[in-house]
Amino acid sequence: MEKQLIVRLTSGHEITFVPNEVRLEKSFVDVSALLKDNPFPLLIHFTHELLVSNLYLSKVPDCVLLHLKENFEPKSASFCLNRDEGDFTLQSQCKFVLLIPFPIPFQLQEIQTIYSSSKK
Amino acid sequence: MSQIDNKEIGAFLSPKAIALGHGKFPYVIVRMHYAIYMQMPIHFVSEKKEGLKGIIVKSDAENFIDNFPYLIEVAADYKRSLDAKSNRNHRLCVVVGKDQAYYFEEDQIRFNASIPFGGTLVNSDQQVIAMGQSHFIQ
Repeated sequence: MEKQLIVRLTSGHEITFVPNEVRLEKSFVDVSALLKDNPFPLLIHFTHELLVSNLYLSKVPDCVLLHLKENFEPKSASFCLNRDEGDFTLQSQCKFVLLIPFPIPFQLQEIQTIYSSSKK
Repeated sequence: MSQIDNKEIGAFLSPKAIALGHGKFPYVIVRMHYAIYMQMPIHFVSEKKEGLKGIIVKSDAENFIDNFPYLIEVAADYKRSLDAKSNRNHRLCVVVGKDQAYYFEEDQIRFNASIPFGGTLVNSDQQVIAMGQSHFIQ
């Protein structure tokens, strides 16, 4: 069974992502290293009990991060656009972060809901 | 079409096809038949331009990238008109980049990092513009 995350837009369109899911007990993650074995779309599931997680995003290809609550309801979004050398870290309060490649073909404000379903 | 190295089979997009907008992201690929695809470039223009082939969308965006959030709607509108015109469902995808495509399936749109490649690529006039090669300019 593979997990699908379905983004429902206000227009009625539904966009399905079949993410590579990675569960992490630690609160710091080097996303660039993670992407080597888990390409986009990537779903990071933080299982630790801390309030925030740190995503080290240096050298990560352009992407959009959707911060999702435990039920996958979207809480916020961030853009990762590495244009200069240097460290780039982002904090997230959510247990799930979905990374999809930038640019995205829909408007973020069009997202009505995100839900999960399983596919055989 | 341009000829390529004799050791390879196929032909890349020609300069003529490229001048008409083919091979540049974003574009729509319609599956016409097994291994036959039609490429429809998507042009965002602020005013009417002669000679462009494909889907023309009026846009006043200052940055080209600002047009991308409208691609699903543009492709969905195009699919609706194509389906209505020939009274059948078409399989198509909108290709955003070399590893990003959104495939329109029965009742959903599915992201895939694998984009259509090879086969026979035709334009909207059904003229062959590439064969056995990538659909975009490398």
